[in-house]
Amino acid sequence: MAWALAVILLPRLLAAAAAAAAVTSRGDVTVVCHDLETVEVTWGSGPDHHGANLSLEFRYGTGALQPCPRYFLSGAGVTSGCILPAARAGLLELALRDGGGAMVFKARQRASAWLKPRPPWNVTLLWTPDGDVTVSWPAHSYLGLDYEVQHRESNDDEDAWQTTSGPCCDLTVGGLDPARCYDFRVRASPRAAHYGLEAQPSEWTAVTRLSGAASAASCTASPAPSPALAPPLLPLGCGLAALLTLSLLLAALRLRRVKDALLPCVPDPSGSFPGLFEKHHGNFQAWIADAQATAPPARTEEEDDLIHPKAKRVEPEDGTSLCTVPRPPSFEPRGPGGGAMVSVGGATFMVGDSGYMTL
Amino acid sequence: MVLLRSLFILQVLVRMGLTYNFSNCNFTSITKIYCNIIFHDLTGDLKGAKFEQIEDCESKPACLLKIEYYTLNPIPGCPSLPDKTFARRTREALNDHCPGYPETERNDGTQEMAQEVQNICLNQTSQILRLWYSFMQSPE
Repeated sequence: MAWALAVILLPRLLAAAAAAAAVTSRGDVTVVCHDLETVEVTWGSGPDHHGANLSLEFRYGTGALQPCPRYFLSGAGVTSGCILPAARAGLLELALRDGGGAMVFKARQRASAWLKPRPPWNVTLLWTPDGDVTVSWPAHSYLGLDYEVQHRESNDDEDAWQTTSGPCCDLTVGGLDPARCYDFRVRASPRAAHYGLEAQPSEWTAVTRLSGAASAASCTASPAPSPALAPPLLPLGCGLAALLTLSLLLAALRLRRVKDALLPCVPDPSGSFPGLFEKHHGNFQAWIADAQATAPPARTEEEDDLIHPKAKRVEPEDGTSLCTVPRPPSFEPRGPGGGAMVSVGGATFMVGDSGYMTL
Repeated sequence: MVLLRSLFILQVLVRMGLTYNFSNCNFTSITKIYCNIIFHDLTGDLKGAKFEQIEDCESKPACLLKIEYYTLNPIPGCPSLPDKTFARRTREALNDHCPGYPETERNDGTQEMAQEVQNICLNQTSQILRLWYSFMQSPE
Protein backbone atom coordinates (compact mmCIF):
# COMPACT_ATOMS: atom_id res chain seq x y z
CA MET A 1 0.00 0.00 0.00
CA ALA A 2 2.83 2.34 0.87
CA TRP A 3 4.50 1.70 -2.44
CA ALA A 4 1.27 2.36 -4.34
CA LEU A 5 0.86 5.65 -2.61
CA ALA A 6 4.45 6.53 -3.32
CA VAL A 7 4.01 5.87 -7.04
CA ILE A 8 0.95 8.13 -7.15
CA LEU A 9 2.71 10.91 -5.33
CA LEU A 10 6.01 10.60 -7.22
CA PRO A 11 5.39 13.28 -9.87
CA ARG A 12 4.32 15.82 -7.26
CA LEU A 13 7.22 14.79 -5.11
CA LEU A 14 9.77 15.41 -7.83
CA ALA A 15 8.30 18.84 -8.51
CA ALA A 16 8.46 19.78 -4.86
CA ALA A 17 11.99 18.43 -4.50
CA ALA A 18 13.42 21.50 -6.17
CA ALA A 19 11.98 23.57 -3.34
CA ALA A 20 12.67 20.95 -0.69
CA ALA A 21 12.54 22.21 2.88
CA ALA A 22 15.99 23.41 3.65
CA VAL A 23 16.16 25.22 6.96
CA THR A 24 15.13 28.83 6.50
CA SER A 25 18.01 30.62 8.10
CA ARG A 26 19.33 34.12 8.32
CA GLY A 27 22.85 35.10 9.08
CA ASP A 28 21.78 37.38 11.91
CA VAL A 29 19.56 34.92 13.81
CA THR A 30 21.29 32.89 16.51
CA VAL A 31 19.85 30.16 18.69
CA VAL A 32 21.55 28.97 21.90
CA CYS A 33 20.25 26.36 24.33
CA HIS A 34 21.78 27.27 27.70
CA ASP A 35 22.60 24.13 29.69
CA LEU A 36 19.44 22.39 28.35
CA GLU A 37 17.37 24.77 30.51
CA THR A 38 16.49 27.74 28.34
CA VAL A 39 16.58 28.54 24.63
CA GLU A 40 17.68 32.03 23.63
CA VAL A 41 16.86 33.26 20.11
CA THR A 42 18.39 36.60 19.07
CA TRP A 43 18.12 38.51 15.85
CA GLY A 44 19.83 41.68 14.70
CA SER A 45 18.34 44.89 13.34
CA GLY A 46 19.77 44.37 9.87
CA PRO A 47 18.38 45.65 6.58
CA ASP A 48 16.41 42.46 5.91
CA HIS A 49 13.47 43.56 7.95
CA HIS A 50 14.23 47.30 8.10
CA GLY A 51 14.02 47.57 11.88
CA ALA A 52 10.53 46.08 12.06
CA ASN A 53 9.17 44.38 15.13
CA LEU A 54 9.61 40.62 14.62
CA SER A 55 7.47 38.10 16.47
CA LEU A 56 8.48 34.56 17.47
CA GLU A 57 6.25 31.55 17.93
CA PHE A 58 7.35 28.11 19.10
CA ARG A 59 6.09 24.66 20.00
CA TYR A 60 7.37 21.28 21.12
CA GLY A 61 6.12 18.27 19.17
CA THR A 62 2.76 18.71 17.49
CA GLY A 63 1.09 21.06 19.96
CA ALA A 64 -0.24 24.48 19.12
CA LEU A 65 2.17 27.30 18.36
CA GLN A 66 2.74 29.58 21.34
CA PRO A 67 3.96 33.19 21.39
CA CYS A 68 7.34 34.01 22.87
CA PRO A 69 6.98 34.22 26.66
CA ARG A 70 9.68 36.91 27.08
CA TYR A 71 11.14 39.23 24.45
CA PHE A 72 14.35 41.27 24.56
CA LEU A 73 14.03 44.78 23.22
CA SER A 74 16.69 46.75 21.39
CA GLY A 75 17.50 50.39 22.11
CA ALA A 76 15.02 51.42 19.42
CA GLY A 77 12.23 49.62 21.25
CA VAL A 78 11.78 46.78 18.73
CA THR A 79 12.14 43.12 19.57
CA SER A 80 15.67 41.76 19.31
CA GLY A 81 15.39 38.34 20.94
CA CYS A 82 13.32 35.84 22.87
CA ILE A 83 13.97 33.43 25.72
CA LEU A 84 11.84 30.34 26.13
CA PRO A 85 12.01 27.10 28.16
CA ALA A 86 14.01 24.13 26.84
CA ALA A 87 12.79 20.53 26.70
CA ARG A 88 15.26 17.65 26.64
CA ALA A 89 13.11 15.55 24.25
CA GLY A 90 10.73 16.39 21.46
CA LEU A 91 11.28 18.55 18.41
CA LEU A 92 11.36 22.34 18.93
CA GLU A 93 9.82 24.31 16.10
CA LEU A 94 10.69 28.03 15.84
CA ALA A 95 8.94 30.48 13.53
CA LEU A 96 10.08 34.12 13.29
CA ARG A 97 7.84 36.48 11.33
CA ASP A 98 7.84 40.15 10.47
CA GLY A 99 4.98 42.58 11.04
CA GLY A 100 3.27 41.47 7.83
CA GLY A 101 3.37 37.81 8.80
CA ALA A 102 6.08 36.81 6.32
CA MET A 103 8.41 34.08 7.58
CA VAL A 104 11.95 35.37 8.09
CA PHE A 105 13.38 32.38 10.01
CA LYS A 106 12.20 28.83 10.62
CA ALA A 107 13.80 25.81 12.28
CA ARG A 108 12.71 22.46 13.63
CA GLN A 109 15.00 20.16 15.59
CA ARG A 110 15.73 19.14 19.16
CA ALA A 111 16.64 22.06 21.45
CA SER A 112 19.80 20.13 22.38
CA ALA A 113 21.10 20.69 18.84
CA TRP A 114 21.89 24.28 19.95
CA LEU A 115 23.42 23.25 23.31
CA LYS A 116 25.92 25.43 25.14
CA PRO A 117 26.70 23.94 28.58
CA ARG A 118 27.41 26.00 31.68
CA PRO A 119 31.10 26.11 32.64
CA PRO A 120 32.31 23.41 35.05
CA TRP A 121 32.27 24.39 38.73
CA ASN A 122 34.00 23.38 41.97
CA VAL A 123 37.18 22.47 40.08
CA THR A 124 39.83 21.02 42.40
CA LEU A 125 43.56 20.64 41.70
CA LEU A 126 45.87 18.21 43.50
CA TRP A 127 49.54 17.30 43.14
CA THR A 128 50.12 13.54 43.04
CA PRO A 129 53.21 11.83 44.51
CA ASP A 130 54.41 11.26 40.93
CA GLY A 131 54.53 14.99 40.22
CA ASP A 132 51.34 15.04 38.13
CA VAL A 133 48.27 17.19 38.78
CA THR A 134 44.81 15.64 39.08
CA VAL A 135 41.99 17.97 38.01
CA SER A 136 38.47 16.99 39.09
CA TRP A 137 34.99 18.53 38.88
CA PRO A 138 31.36 17.42 39.33
CA ALA A 139 29.34 16.08 36.36
CA HIS A 140 26.68 18.00 34.46
CA SER A 141 23.13 16.64 34.69
CA TYR A 142 23.27 15.26 31.15
CA LEU A 143 25.68 13.04 29.17
CA GLY A 144 27.57 13.52 25.92
CA LEU A 145 30.19 16.04 27.10
CA ASP A 146 33.95 16.03 26.83
CA TYR A 147 36.06 18.31 29.03
CA GLU A 148 39.08 20.35 28.07
CA VAL A 149 41.67 21.22 30.71
CA GLN A 150 44.23 23.87 29.87
CA HIS A 151 47.35 24.68 31.87
CA ARG A 152 50.37 26.98 31.61
CA GLU A 153 53.17 28.19 33.84
CA SER A 154 51.99 31.11 35.94
CA ASN A 155 52.46 34.53 34.34
CA ASP A 156 53.02 32.99 30.90
CA ASP A 157 51.20 34.62 27.99
CA GLU A 158 47.93 33.55 26.30
CA ASP A 159 49.68 31.49 23.61
CA ALA A 160 51.24 29.19 26.18
CA TRP A 161 48.06 27.27 27.13
CA GLN A 162 48.35 23.47 26.68
CA THR A 163 45.19 21.38 26.32
CA THR A 164 44.30 17.95 27.68
CA SER A 165 40.85 16.46 26.90
CA GLY A 166 38.81 13.69 28.40
CA PRO A 167 35.41 12.59 29.66
CA CYS A 168 33.96 13.45 33.05
CA CYS A 169 34.96 13.90 35.82
CA ASP A 170 38.71 13.92 36.42
CA LEU A 171 41.80 14.21 34.36
CA THR A 172 45.54 13.93 35.11
CA VAL A 173 48.01 16.38 33.66
CA GLY A 174 51.56 15.07 33.55
CA GLY A 175 54.96 16.46 32.67
CA LEU A 176 54.79 19.30 35.20
CA ASP A 177 57.56 20.58 37.46
CA PRO A 178 56.53 20.32 41.14
CA ALA A 179 58.78 23.28 41.97
CA ARG A 180 56.85 25.64 39.72
CA CYS A 181 53.45 27.31 39.85
CA TYR A 182 50.78 26.73 37.20
CA ASP A 183 47.48 28.25 36.00
CA PHE A 184 44.54 25.97 35.12
CA ARG A 185 41.14 26.43 33.46
CA VAL A 186 38.41 23.98 32.31
CA ARG A 187 35.47 23.99 29.90
CA ALA A 188 32.78 21.49 28.81
CA SER A 189 32.44 20.61 25.13
CA PRO A 190 29.38 18.76 23.65
CA ARG A 191 30.36 15.81 21.48
CA ALA A 192 29.40 16.33 17.84
CA ALA A 193 28.21 12.73 17.41
CA HIS A 194 25.93 13.22 20.43
CA TYR A 195 24.42 16.67 19.87
CA GLY A 196 25.39 17.69 16.34
CA LEU A 197 27.66 20.27 14.80
CA GLU A 198 25.73 23.36 15.99
CA ALA A 199 26.35 22.69 19.70
CA GLN A 200 29.18 24.79 21.16
CA PRO A 201 31.60 24.58 24.12
CA SER A 202 30.96 26.35 27.40
CA GLU A 203 32.87 29.42 28.53
CA TRP A 204 36.16 28.74 30.32
CA THR A 205 36.19 28.68 34.09
CA ALA A 206 38.11 31.41 35.86
CA VAL A 207 41.87 30.76 35.92
CA THR A 208 42.98 28.99 39.10
CA ARG A 209 46.59 29.20 40.22
CA LEU A 210 48.23 26.13 41.75
CA SER A 211 51.36 26.56 43.83
CA GLY A 212 54.28 24.18 43.50
CA ALA A 213 54.21 20.87 45.33
CA ALA A 214 57.15 21.90 47.53
CA SER A 215 56.27 23.90 50.62
CA ALA A 216 58.89 26.56 49.80
CA ALA A 217 57.09 27.57 46.60
CA SER A 218 56.82 31.32 46.32
CA CYS A 219 53.33 31.61 44.82
CA THR A 220 50.11 30.64 46.56
CA ALA A 221 46.94 28.95 45.30
CA SER A 222 44.84 32.00 44.59
CA PRO A 223 43.10 33.58 41.62
CA ALA A 224 45.50 35.12 39.12
CA PRO A 225 46.18 38.81 39.90
CA SER A 226 44.60 41.54 37.85
CA PRO A 227 46.92 42.64 35.06
CA ALA A 228 46.16 46.30 35.89
CA LEU A 229 48.20 46.21 39.13
CA ALA A 230 51.72 47.72 38.96
CA PRO A 231 54.63 45.41 39.76
CA PRO A 232 55.60 45.54 43.48
CA LEU A 233 59.20 46.58 42.76
CA LEU A 234 58.27 50.08 41.65
CA PRO A 235 56.88 51.48 44.95
CA LEU A 236 59.64 49.69 46.87
CA GLY A 237 62.33 51.34 44.75
CA CYS A 238 60.76 54.75 45.12
CA GLY A 239 60.56 54.34 48.89
CA LEU A 240 64.21 53.36 49.16
CA ALA A 241 65.30 56.33 47.05
CA ALA A 242 63.29 58.74 49.22
CA LEU A 243 64.75 57.25 52.39
CA LEU A 244 68.31 57.56 51.07
CA THR A 245 67.80 61.18 50.06
CA LEU A 246 66.41 62.03 53.48
CA SER A 247 69.34 60.36 55.19
CA LEU A 248 71.88 62.25 53.10
CA LEU A 249 70.12 65.53 53.86
CA LEU A 250 70.12 64.87 57.59
CA ALA A 251 73.82 64.00 57.50
CA ALA A 252 74.61 67.15 55.55
CA LEU A 253 72.76 69.28 58.07
CA ARG A 254 75.15 68.17 60.74
CA LEU A 255 77.90 70.20 59.01
CA ARG A 256 77.87 73.67 60.60
CA ARG A 257 78.43 75.56 57.40
CA VAL A 258 75.60 73.78 55.69
CA LYS A 259 73.42 74.31 58.69
CA ASP A 260 74.17 78.00 58.86
CA ALA A 261 73.47 78.42 55.17
CA LEU A 262 70.20 76.52 55.28
CA LEU A 263 69.08 77.46 58.79
CA PRO A 264 70.56 80.87 59.72
CA CYS A 265 70.56 81.76 63.42
CA VAL A 266 67.99 84.09 64.81
CA PRO A 267 69.88 87.10 66.25
CA ASP A 268 69.95 87.07 70.04
CA PRO A 269 69.83 90.61 71.42
CA SER A 270 70.97 89.63 74.87
CA GLY A 271 74.62 89.71 73.83
CA SER A 272 74.46 93.19 72.40
CA PHE A 273 72.39 94.62 75.25
CA PRO A 274 73.75 93.30 78.54
CA GLY A 275 71.24 93.39 81.30
CA LEU A 276 68.28 93.97 78.98
CA PHE A 277 66.53 90.75 79.99
CA GLU A 278 68.19 90.06 83.34
CA LYS A 279 67.78 93.53 84.89
CA HIS A 280 65.06 95.29 82.94
CA HIS A 281 63.00 92.23 81.85
CA GLY A 282 63.09 93.15 78.20
CA ASN A 283 62.02 96.79 78.75
CA PHE A 284 64.20 98.46 76.23
CA GLN A 285 63.33 102.05 77.24
CA ALA A 286 64.28 101.35 80.82
CA TRP A 287 67.50 99.84 79.63
CA ILE A 288 68.25 102.89 77.48
CA ALA A 289 67.64 105.23 80.39
CA ASP A 290 69.90 103.16 82.58
CA ALA A 291 72.55 102.98 79.92
CA GLN A 292 72.46 106.72 79.30
CA ALA A 293 72.92 107.38 82.93
CA THR A 294 76.03 105.25 83.13
CA ALA A 295 77.66 105.50 79.67
CA PRO A 296 79.78 108.49 78.54
CA PRO A 297 78.44 110.46 75.60
CA ALA A 298 79.65 108.86 72.41
CA ARG A 299 81.29 110.74 69.63
CA THR A 300 78.96 111.10 66.72
CA GLU A 301 79.99 111.03 63.12
CA GLU A 302 79.50 114.78 62.89
CA GLU A 303 81.90 115.20 65.71
CA ASP A 304 84.33 112.95 64.00
CA ASP A 305 84.11 115.11 60.88
CA LEU A 306 84.93 118.37 62.75
CA ILE A 307 88.50 119.43 62.86
CA HIS A 308 89.44 120.49 66.30
CA PRO A 309 92.59 122.59 65.94
CA LYS A 310 95.03 121.85 68.59
CA ALA A 311 95.67 124.93 70.76
CA LYS A 312 99.26 126.09 70.56
CA ARG A 313 100.25 128.09 73.60
CA VAL A 314 102.36 131.18 72.74
CA GLU A 315 103.84 132.69 75.75
CA PRO A 316 104.17 136.48 75.38
CA GLU A 317 107.36 137.99 76.46
CA ASP A 318 105.70 139.75 79.29
CA GLY A 319 104.15 136.47 80.33
CA THR A 320 100.64 137.34 79.43
CA SER A 321 98.70 135.05 77.14
CA LEU A 322 98.36 136.64 73.70
CA CYS A 323 95.77 134.26 72.38
CA THR A 324 93.69 131.48 73.68
CA VAL A 325 92.20 128.59 71.81
CA PRO A 326 88.53 129.06 71.85
CA ARG A 327 86.73 126.25 73.37
CA PRO A 328 84.70 124.50 70.81
CA PRO A 329 81.10 125.27 71.39
CA SER A 330 79.12 122.73 73.26
CA PHE A 331 77.75 120.17 70.71
CA GLU A 332 74.53 118.20 71.04
CA PRO A 333 74.09 115.86 68.01
CA ARG A 334 70.66 115.84 66.35
CA GLY A 335 69.06 113.24 64.08
CA PRO A 336 67.33 114.00 60.82
CA GLY A 337 64.03 114.41 62.64
CA GLY A 338 65.49 116.72 65.10
CA GLY A 339 65.46 114.14 67.90
CA ALA A 340 68.48 113.62 70.16
CA MET A 341 70.90 110.96 69.01
CA VAL A 342 72.21 108.53 71.54
CA SER A 343 74.94 106.04 70.90
CA VAL A 344 75.06 103.23 73.40
CA GLY A 345 76.97 99.98 73.27
CA GLY A 346 77.91 100.42 69.62
CA ALA A 347 74.26 101.04 68.51
CA THR A 348 72.84 104.47 67.67
CA PHE A 349 69.33 105.51 68.70
CA MET A 350 67.26 108.64 68.19
CA VAL A 351 64.85 109.75 70.83
CA GLY A 352 61.99 111.53 69.25
CA ASP A 353 59.72 114.07 70.84
CA SER A 354 57.23 111.33 71.48
CA GLY A 355 59.86 109.51 73.43
CA TYR A 356 59.86 106.54 71.07
CA MET A 357 63.17 105.01 70.26
CA THR A 358 64.17 104.50 66.66
CA LEU A 359 66.77 101.87 66.09
CA MET B 1 8.07 19.69 2.89
CA VAL B 2 4.61 18.58 3.89
CA LEU B 3 4.69 15.91 1.19
CA LEU B 4 7.99 14.52 2.40
CA ARG B 5 6.76 14.48 5.95
CA SER B 6 3.57 12.66 5.03
CA LEU B 7 5.51 10.09 3.03
CA PHE B 8 7.87 9.32 5.86
CA ILE B 9 5.11 8.98 8.43
CA LEU B 10 3.15 6.72 6.12
CA GLN B 11 6.16 4.48 5.62
CA VAL B 12 6.66 4.18 9.35
CA LEU B 13 3.07 3.26 9.99
CA VAL B 14 3.07 0.60 7.30
CA ARG B 15 6.24 -1.00 8.50
CA MET B 16 5.36 -1.03 12.19
CA GLY B 17 3.56 -4.33 11.80
CA LEU B 18 6.54 -6.10 10.28
CA THR B 19 9.23 -4.76 12.51
CA TYR B 20 11.89 -6.35 14.61
CA ASN B 21 12.07 -5.58 18.33
CA PHE B 22 15.35 -3.79 18.90
CA SER B 23 15.15 -3.90 22.71
CA ASN B 24 17.66 -6.78 22.94
CA CYS B 25 20.41 -5.09 20.98
CA ASN B 26 23.84 -4.37 22.45
CA PHE B 27 23.48 -0.60 22.57
CA THR B 28 27.02 -0.05 23.87
CA SER B 29 28.60 -1.74 20.87
CA ILE B 30 26.22 -0.07 18.42
CA THR B 31 27.02 3.33 20.03
CA LYS B 32 30.75 2.80 19.52
CA ILE B 33 30.30 1.84 15.87
CA TYR B 34 28.10 4.87 15.25
CA CYS B 35 30.47 7.35 17.00
CA ASN B 36 33.63 6.02 15.34
CA ILE B 37 32.39 5.20 11.84
CA ILE B 38 28.76 5.84 10.87
CA PHE B 39 28.70 9.46 12.17
CA HIS B 40 31.67 10.43 9.98
CA ASP B 41 30.12 8.72 6.92
CA LEU B 42 26.86 10.64 7.41
CA THR B 43 28.47 14.07 7.93
CA GLY B 44 30.75 13.42 4.99
CA ASP B 45 27.77 12.78 2.70
CA LEU B 46 25.83 15.82 4.00
CA LYS B 47 28.70 18.33 3.66
CA GLY B 48 26.97 20.83 5.95
CA ALA B 49 23.49 20.73 4.38
CA LYS B 50 20.70 21.37 6.90
CA PHE B 51 17.08 20.25 6.81
CA GLU B 52 14.24 20.45 9.27
CA GLN B 53 13.90 17.36 11.39
CA ILE B 54 10.71 15.46 10.69
CA GLU B 55 10.85 12.44 12.99
CA ASP B 56 11.99 11.99 16.56
CA CYS B 57 12.23 9.09 18.99
CA GLU B 58 12.48 8.85 22.77
CA SER B 59 14.10 5.49 23.50
CA LYS B 60 17.02 3.60 21.99
CA PRO B 61 14.90 0.72 20.63
CA ALA B 62 12.40 3.16 19.07
CA CYS B 63 15.23 5.17 17.54
CA LEU B 64 16.92 2.07 16.07
CA LEU B 65 13.57 1.04 14.55
CA LYS B 66 13.28 4.32 12.67
CA ILE B 67 17.00 4.44 11.80
CA GLU B 68 16.84 0.95 10.33
CA TYR B 69 13.79 1.75 8.25
CA TYR B 70 14.98 5.07 6.82
CA THR B 71 18.47 3.73 6.13
CA LEU B 72 17.77 0.40 4.50
CA ASN B 73 14.69 1.18 2.41
CA PRO B 74 14.91 3.03 -0.88
CA ILE B 75 12.56 5.95 -1.35
CA PRO B 76 11.32 7.72 -4.47
CA GLY B 77 14.02 10.09 -5.56
CA CYS B 78 16.87 8.28 -3.74
CA PRO B 79 17.04 4.63 -4.80
CA SER B 80 20.78 4.39 -4.01
CA LEU B 81 20.45 5.18 -0.32
CA PRO B 82 20.67 1.55 0.94
CA ASP B 83 23.91 1.12 -1.00
CA LYS B 84 25.70 4.06 0.56
CA THR B 85 28.63 3.36 2.93
CA PHE B 86 26.82 4.49 6.08
CA ALA B 87 23.84 2.31 5.22
CA ARG B 88 26.01 -0.75 4.67
CA ARG B 89 27.78 -0.25 8.00
CA THR B 90 24.46 0.27 9.80
CA ARG B 91 23.24 -3.05 8.45
CA GLU B 92 26.41 -4.79 9.59
CA ALA B 93 26.11 -3.29 13.10
CA LEU B 94 22.51 -4.45 13.44
CA ASN B 95 23.39 -7.89 12.17
CA ASP B 96 26.29 -8.20 14.61
CA HIS B 97 24.75 -6.71 17.76
CA CYS B 98 21.00 -7.33 17.56
CA PRO B 99 20.25 -11.01 18.25
CA GLY B 100 17.76 -12.46 15.75
CA TYR B 101 17.80 -9.38 13.51
CA PRO B 102 16.29 -10.60 10.22
CA GLU B 103 17.92 -9.76 6.93
CA THR B 104 14.66 -8.63 5.37
CA GLU B 105 14.30 -8.79 1.62
CA ARG B 106 14.09 -5.31 0.25
CA ASN B 107 12.15 -4.20 -2.76
CA ASP B 108 14.48 -2.78 -5.38
CA GLY B 109 11.89 -0.26 -6.32
CA THR B 110 10.02 0.48 -9.47
CA GLN B 111 11.19 2.28 -12.55
CA GLU B 112 9.71 5.51 -11.17
CA MET B 113 12.04 5.31 -8.20
CA ALA B 114 15.17 4.98 -10.31
CA GLN B 115 15.54 8.72 -10.73
CA GLU B 116 17.96 10.13 -8.24
CA VAL B 117 17.24 13.56 -6.84
CA GLN B 118 20.17 14.87 -4.84
CA ASN B 119 18.10 17.03 -2.50
CA ILE B 120 15.89 14.08 -1.58
CA CYS B 121 18.94 11.95 -0.78
CA LEU B 122 20.44 14.77 1.29
CA ASN B 123 17.18 15.28 3.16
CA GLN B 124 16.89 11.57 3.89
CA THR B 125 20.51 11.42 5.09
CA SER B 126 19.87 14.42 7.36
CA GLN B 127 16.84 12.72 8.90
CA ILE B 128 18.87 9.58 9.60
CA LEU B 129 21.67 11.59 11.26
CA ARG B 130 19.20 13.41 13.54
CA LEU B 131 17.61 10.10 14.54
CA TRP B 132 21.09 8.94 15.56
CA TYR B 133 21.42 12.09 17.74
CA SER B 134 18.10 11.21 19.39
CA PHE B 135 19.36 7.62 19.86
CA MET B 136 22.45 8.95 21.69
CA GLN B 137 20.36 11.19 23.97
CA SER B 138 17.63 8.64 24.76
CA PRO B 139 17.53 6.13 27.59
CA GLU B 140 17.63 2.39 26.97
